[in-house]
Amino acid sequence: MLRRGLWLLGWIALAALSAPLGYAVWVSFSPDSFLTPPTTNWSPRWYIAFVADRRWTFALVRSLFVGCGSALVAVLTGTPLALAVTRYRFAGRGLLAVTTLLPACVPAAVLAMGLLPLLYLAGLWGNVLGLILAHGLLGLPVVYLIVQTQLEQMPPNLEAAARGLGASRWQATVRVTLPLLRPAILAGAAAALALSFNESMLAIFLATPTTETLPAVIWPQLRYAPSPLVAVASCVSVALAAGMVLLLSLLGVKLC
Amino acid sequence: MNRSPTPYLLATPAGVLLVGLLIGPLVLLLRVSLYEPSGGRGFFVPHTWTLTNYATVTDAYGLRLLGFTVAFAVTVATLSVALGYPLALFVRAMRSPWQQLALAGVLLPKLASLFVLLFGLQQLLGEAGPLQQFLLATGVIATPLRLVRSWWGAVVAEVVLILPYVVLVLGVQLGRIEPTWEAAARGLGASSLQVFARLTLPLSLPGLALAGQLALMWGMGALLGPLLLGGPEQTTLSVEIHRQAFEYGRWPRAAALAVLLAGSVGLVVFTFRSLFGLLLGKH
Amino acid sequence: MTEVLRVIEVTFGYGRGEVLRQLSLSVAEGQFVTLLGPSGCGKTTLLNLIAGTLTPRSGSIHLRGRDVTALPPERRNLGMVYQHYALFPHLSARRNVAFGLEVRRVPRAERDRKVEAMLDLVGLTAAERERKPGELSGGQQQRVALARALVFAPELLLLDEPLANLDRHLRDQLRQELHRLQRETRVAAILVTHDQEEALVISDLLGVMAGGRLLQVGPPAEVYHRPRTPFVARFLGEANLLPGPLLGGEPGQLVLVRPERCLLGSAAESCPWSWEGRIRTLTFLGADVLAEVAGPAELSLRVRARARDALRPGELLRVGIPADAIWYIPDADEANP
Repeated sequence: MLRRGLWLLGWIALAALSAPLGYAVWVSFSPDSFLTPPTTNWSPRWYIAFVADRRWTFALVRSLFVGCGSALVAVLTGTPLALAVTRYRFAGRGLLAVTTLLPACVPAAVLAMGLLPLLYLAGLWGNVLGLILAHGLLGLPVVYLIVQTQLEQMPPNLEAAARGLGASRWQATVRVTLPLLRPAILAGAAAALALSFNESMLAIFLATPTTETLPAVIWPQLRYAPSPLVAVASCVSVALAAGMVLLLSLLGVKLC
Repeated sequence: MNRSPTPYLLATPAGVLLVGLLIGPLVLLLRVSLYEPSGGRGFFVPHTWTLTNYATVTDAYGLRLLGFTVAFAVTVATLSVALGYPLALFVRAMRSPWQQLALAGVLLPKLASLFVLLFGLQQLLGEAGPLQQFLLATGVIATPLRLVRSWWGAVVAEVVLILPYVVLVLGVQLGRIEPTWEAAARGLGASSLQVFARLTLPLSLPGLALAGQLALMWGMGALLGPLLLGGPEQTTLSVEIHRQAFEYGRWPRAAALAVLLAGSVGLVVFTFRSLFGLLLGKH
Repeated sequence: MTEVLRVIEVTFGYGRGEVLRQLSLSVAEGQFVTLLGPSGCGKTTLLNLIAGTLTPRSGSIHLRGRDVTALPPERRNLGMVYQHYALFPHLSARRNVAFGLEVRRVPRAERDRKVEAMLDLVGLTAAERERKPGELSGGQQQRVALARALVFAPELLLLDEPLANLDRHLRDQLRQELHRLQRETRVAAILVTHDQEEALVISDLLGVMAGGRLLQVGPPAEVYHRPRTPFVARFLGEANLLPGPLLGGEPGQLVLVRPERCLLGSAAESCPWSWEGRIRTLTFLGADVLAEVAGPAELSLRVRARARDALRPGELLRVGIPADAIWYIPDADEANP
């Protein structure tokens, strides 16, 4: 009896966690301009409006571009770092490992207030490159952690075996380690892409009219005048996230 | 110690990124906080040095902001862990297909935009939203509650944002507890409650410490929850930083607030770890 | 002898498959019962059913005449040693052993006395008692697990391959200690193993399991010399299984002849059955050799002989089977109905 009750409570809690998401999706099919969820009269009206509005579509494309770019940055920096930290002992190793996790720990407002003058002074304000690098920084700890975990679970004697068979250290890495790391790298890239695509904290600090990402367009509307368009934009990002999860599970990657 | 250049070469790309976009900006942040605020043109007056920004952020108003931020973070962290721990236990106890489903349910909102969650919450909790309408219709409440643009609105929003991470961190820690240990304890005569108190709880303490620390850290930096579901009184340091930078264009003051925030996050985390250490020492 | 455990026609399975089928077993006071079988035969499942970690699909389990089928594990008062010991990593060896008494709210003084006595019995030094399981060797962990399972005087001790993860020397030593401890505490015990030597040395009763069934239970010597099915005969030690009619049996019967009971050379002359054969292969076993002797009509017999008999491959000699070395069994394994 008590057990039953606890299970019910658990499912209710899980449902409550997904409720805001579900509700946003529901509202996006509203036929009128009010934020009322449709019951009988489902309409794609706001999806059509979304596609027709260049500000939204440009932001969507830009978000995807920035996402791919920053995922690339995160993978190219995070993977070699994970290799260095797990496979070598060198001066500054501990410090580097800790610093790598900092982007996930420093409050977004603090980081943003440093990045803002930096991009301003470096002439990257209003340039997508600045955004790609900033998002890449946020993706770095994610890729690093995922790849590092995989590396630690890998039997260390695999590389030794490859060396024993005549492969150089470099060959062992390229022919044995990297292929084995592929699922982890892909998972890291997907996570970094999702993170960048939906990045909303830096967005409200760093966005300029020429670098507006999807969240940057959503947020002022959300604050001052929410419309079903916001719900549609939300759905697009949910669909992308769901696609990402599906992709990951198809790749056979465990999320934790 | 390895003298070969390989590890340094491997670490270089990440090092450049970290120095250029993390260390560099943080140093710059300190510098900006020492500029004189501009009267109107530009965001600060170049080539000036002053401490006035710090004077204005450590006055009564600044300290009240800090106090509110800490209280907010503690509330959010407490609620997140208090809700996340049973939830993580619940997910762990599930059978295979359900467990994956539950995990996806926890994670999916996390992968989607935070704005989606906050938008949904705004609509759900609003006076015209289904929750309030239901409560009004069933007579549980007589007048609409102020859930949006209020303390509880901001807290609920931030908890919803942080909870999935807490569940994930605790889930990883709980996953390290072998089911045979619990079976062995049952076999040795321990009831379910005793198994929990003597085995599961002590073994999950490291995870609780980590989850609590992360929740506190993110609670201290709370921006979107208070901004979108809080009212004007729910101003955390992050919200104020945003307002100073964008509504008033006072970058130096925003930077000084950011320094204050960074320092206080460090202090809060340090305090939490010391308190948790004391608690463990007694155990 | 009073009966401690009675398992009556227990069936267990996941989904459609059955791991155990209609299995019955009885254990008396002070008895040491070993369940032997290949991996996947259901022996560990049976142990978990007795311990209460699993619940049978049908059938019942009784402890001292009380039906405990529906009772949760903590109310059965059984001591169990797991294959990987399942020691609690955050507690010292002493606290691990004290666990069962702590949850039973045994007064502190009594608890301490019992724990120390049990730790003395398994021979753990004072320093080792304060260590966490991660800091103990495999043998020490095994002793702690044993002490933990015995300290609250359980009705029955359940041992799930407790010696499987130790090297051979340590295994022999700990097996003797296990035997000694069981004698001293007089607790009835069920040991599950796939190591037949272990099974033959230690047990009062030996059960052979396969395919979710208990094929035969009895004193080790009886099961060894008088197996009821060809599977049991083959699973325990070396076995020659010859067509029954060849050695005075009926059609549909097999004859079991253990290699060490066969005779060679002049000693074979007086046997009721003997014939000329040629040594095909010789395997050196230390003090003994195992000779495979090819007889007439593709009749091949494995014979265990003394190494000093100086046999040579290709040698022609007489092999004989004494009358009391013969045991007839039906040529069918009941495991597949």
